[in-house]
Amino acid sequence: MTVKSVIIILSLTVFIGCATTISKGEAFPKMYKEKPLSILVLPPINESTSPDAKEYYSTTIAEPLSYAGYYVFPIEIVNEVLKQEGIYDTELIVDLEASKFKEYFGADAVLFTRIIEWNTSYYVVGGNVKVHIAFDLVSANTGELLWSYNGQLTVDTTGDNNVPGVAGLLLQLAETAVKTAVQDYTPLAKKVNTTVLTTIPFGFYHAQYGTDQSFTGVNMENVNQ
Amino acid sequence: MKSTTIILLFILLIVGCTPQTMYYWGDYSNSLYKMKKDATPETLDKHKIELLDIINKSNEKGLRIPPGINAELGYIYLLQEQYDQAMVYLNEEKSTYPESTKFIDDLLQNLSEGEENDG
Repeated sequence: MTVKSVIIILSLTVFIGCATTISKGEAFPKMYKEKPLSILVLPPINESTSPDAKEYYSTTIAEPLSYAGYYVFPIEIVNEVLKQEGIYDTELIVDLEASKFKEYFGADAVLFTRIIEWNTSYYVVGGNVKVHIAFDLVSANTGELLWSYNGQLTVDTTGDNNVPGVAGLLLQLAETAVKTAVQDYTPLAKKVNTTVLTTIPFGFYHAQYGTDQSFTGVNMENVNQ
Repeated sequence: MKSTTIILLFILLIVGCTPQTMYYWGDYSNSLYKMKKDATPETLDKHKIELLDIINKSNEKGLRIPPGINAELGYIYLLQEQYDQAMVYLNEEKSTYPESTKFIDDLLQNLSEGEENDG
């Protein structure tokens, strides 16, 4: 057994280990057919119990989407324009024909984001902070769903100390409360964005545009139904 | 020797997959977040400085200005009624990203209509 064969076997194992996922090309063929250049991000649909989530989340998405190779319409201006038109709740325009966004903004595709969770939970002796976002990219030409994915992240904010007995438990409750309160959501949202966007086919401004059909890593369980 | 070559090629392949720096976004997301959390003339000013800094640093590094940055800065100038500056940055967005042309032209159209109404 030479070093070389060990390496080959190891790399094969790595590839086989990824076999539970499918490739971008298999998962999202319409993206490769339609090749959208520009994406209009609509204000998030907020299904969480946190009223601030919508405003804060929208500060996190332009950057990673641009790194995926897409032109992202300036989100702040788009939000203002929509507000002036009396539309700030995407819920109200979900059924609007996607072609309207081509007509009014010149967009190739529209990104709907749903904040499913942006919450803090406490249980008896601990707590956690959770962010769960679902993405649907819809063609502004055909209205078809081009790409969809969702991702979530939970941070355990349970306090930890080595004090025994009731004193330790009380301390833990206090620690949990503090850690949970200061845990900021946006860093979690950014991590969710980064993970989810590894599955979107690269756009025009990415060096590997048009060549990533065989990239694996798309977990069908995370594709929105 | 041969296996060393293969290993080297393998390493090159992995390194080759690491994406090149595409953009310089600076502290954009945090500065926007702060502005949303606490909307004051100060946080707006800081965000404006951040946008200018992103443009300057991107130029220094020879990188394309990230999408929307020129437009957002132009829009802030627009709201502050500094129309010449606004035009410079909004036009810059168009020339960097031709796919923004319709969007920017419509914004400018609304602006000129607004001015006519004011006058």
